[in-house]
Amino acid sequence: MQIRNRLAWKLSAVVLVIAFVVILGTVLLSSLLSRQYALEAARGIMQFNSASIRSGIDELMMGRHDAGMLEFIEEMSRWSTTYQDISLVSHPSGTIAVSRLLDSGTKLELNQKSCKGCHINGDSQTDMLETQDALVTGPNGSRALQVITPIINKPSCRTADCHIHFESGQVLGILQTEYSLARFDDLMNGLSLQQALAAVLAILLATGALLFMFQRLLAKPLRRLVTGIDTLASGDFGFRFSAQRDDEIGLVEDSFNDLADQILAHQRELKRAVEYMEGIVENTADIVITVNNNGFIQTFNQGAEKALGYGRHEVVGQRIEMLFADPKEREAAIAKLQEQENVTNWETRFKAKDDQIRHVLLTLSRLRNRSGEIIGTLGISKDITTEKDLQMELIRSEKEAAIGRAVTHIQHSIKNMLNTLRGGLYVARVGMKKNRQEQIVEGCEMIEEGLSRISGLSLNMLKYAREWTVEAEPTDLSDLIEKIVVATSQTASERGVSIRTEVDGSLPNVPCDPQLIHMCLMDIVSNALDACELKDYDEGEDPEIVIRVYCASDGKRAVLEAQDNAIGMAQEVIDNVFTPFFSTKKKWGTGLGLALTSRIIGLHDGKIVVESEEGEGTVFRITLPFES
Amino acid sequence: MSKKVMIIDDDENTVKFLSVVLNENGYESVSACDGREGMEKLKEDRVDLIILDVMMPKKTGFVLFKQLKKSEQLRDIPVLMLTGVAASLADMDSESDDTMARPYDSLRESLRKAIQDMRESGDIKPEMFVDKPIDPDSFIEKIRQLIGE
Repeated sequence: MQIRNRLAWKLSAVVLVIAFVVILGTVLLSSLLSRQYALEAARGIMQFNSASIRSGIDELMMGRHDAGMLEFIEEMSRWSTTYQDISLVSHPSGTIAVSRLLDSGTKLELNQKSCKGCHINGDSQTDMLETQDALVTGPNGSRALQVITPIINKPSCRTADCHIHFESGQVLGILQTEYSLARFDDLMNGLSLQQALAAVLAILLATGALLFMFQRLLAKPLRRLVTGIDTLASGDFGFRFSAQRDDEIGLVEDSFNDLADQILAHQRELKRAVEYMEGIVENTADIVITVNNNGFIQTFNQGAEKALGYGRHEVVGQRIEMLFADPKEREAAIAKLQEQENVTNWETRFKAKDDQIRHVLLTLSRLRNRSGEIIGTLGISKDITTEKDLQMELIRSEKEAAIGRAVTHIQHSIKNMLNTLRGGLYVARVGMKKNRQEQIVEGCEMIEEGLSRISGLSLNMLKYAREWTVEAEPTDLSDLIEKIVVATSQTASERGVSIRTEVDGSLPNVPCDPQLIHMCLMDIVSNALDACELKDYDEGEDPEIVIRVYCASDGKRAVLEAQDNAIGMAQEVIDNVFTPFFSTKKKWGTGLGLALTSRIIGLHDGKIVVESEEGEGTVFRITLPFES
Repeated sequence: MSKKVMIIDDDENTVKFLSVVLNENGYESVSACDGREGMEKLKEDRVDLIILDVMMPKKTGFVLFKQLKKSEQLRDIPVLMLTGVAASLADMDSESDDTMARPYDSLRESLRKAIQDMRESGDIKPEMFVDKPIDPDSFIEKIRQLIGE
């Protein structure tokens, strides 16, 4: 900063003014006093001189030596250039007797300045018989001292040889001497000028000294302080004063050092905190972008650079819309943000620098300052492109796998059916060739069976593919399982399988489609019967299926359970048991039964699970919700 | 005296069909609907060839095959295995896209392993598999190769 009014100058100026006034006053006063004193001394001398002249005149007059008196006066005038004039005035007539400048016989007026010494009020009468003096202005304009000495009728005058003055105490005449003060004044003025010059010199010297001292004692340390503060302000927190001074400036410097220490400590702490926070934001793999209220990008982290391919210098200050594959998706997210404080896991698409689409889960929050004002938007996005691609890939491959399963299964089923048809045809043909009626019938039966399998498969496929609708009605599930038992009893007894039921009588009617649930349960029980067929039971163990119905522990769901002690299933089979076209049945399984069952239970908002152990048996458990 | 063939298969139609095919071509046939019945009948009856279905309830064809090979009397009787999957396995192996067969991975693996085991033990030869649906002519051709007319 440019200092226009330096402190030392200001202080010096104040001192200068004070010193000037004081010294000027002193000079004036001393000049006045010395003039007065010198004037008084001059007056004394002049009065003494006048008295001497008068004595001389007295002596000359007593000796009736008038001509000598004139000579004497002229002599006196010549003797000293100091005398301007010496005149002798006859009193009371006021006629001038002797003078250097005025003609003898001239009459003086009473209002003359010299007369006023005795005739104060202009009266003719006065008691003043002493020598008087007055300052007058001389004819050349310079000052002059006028001394008037009365010549009084003394007793000697009555006995004089020349003439006798009878009345005593009378003023016989006046001796008026005038001394020019021109030289005196010149001398005094010269003296005053010298004094003034000396004073000015002294003032200048004193001011210079003060300026120097102020500069050294005040301005310099202050400038050092300013330099220190400037250094601090410029961000160099390492600057310190070497604490050597023991005056007030030293105190200020100590305080400055303490302050600098504290600022440094705070600054380091702040820097650490900021670096820590920046580190978190910077190093997260997520895309972190902040945008101001006008939609311009403010910050862009490393994660964003990596995911989107832009350097931060390319996008900071640009509009955020440039990053969206469809800016309308941002508008929608912002609209949602208006309704609520946060938008979380908003699925949207960014466009990377190479125009590749990046799928992200965007979480938007308001950015607020300390006083709570909204200053922008913070967006944290997770790049889920890989997951998304994988998901699509999975869906695609699952679709393909399902199609593959369906094709493989259908091909397998058709092979079996073709085998039957071809076999039947062969048998019938041989029968015809050999004319064996019985064999022809056998062959035709085989063909019929093959055909019925084909139509069964096609029916099942239609059944699975069909749109099922649930027509729910309050259903007594214990009734329903009794019907299942009746429907399967013949097959069960043929195969030596016993079917029993366990019914929880307290269970209320459950809202479901009784026909669909019957179909599902029928499928499960048929499977159990088939599974029993496959097991080589040990002695003492008989194939058994238990069908249970009871209320779940939460009191809100009904449970239908079919348990068998048949061959059970391997984990691979358990995992795929509800997968369409997955079948372990040798020849005629469609792989659609349990898939359809699972779908129908889902339509009821229910659940179907399976527990099984190889060689031990299987439990299918259906849970159906009801309003308690 | 005509040669006798034992058919062990749970599918009646297949049994009926193969019996007719065999009889038409001068072979005598007996049948059993599962492994247990087959073993019992084999103890009573001497046969020249056993046709065994791989996938059967109670005892699979492979289990029965191993039992046959353990038995002193039955070990030397040739066995022809019927399978619905032999050709499928070959098909699957040639498939470049694995996802097609994924649900059957472990089943396929266990079958292949079983077949591999048999091949390595020298008990079984590749031509002893016959795939369904069975073509009567090639079926008889295989039997003739094994046991003659």
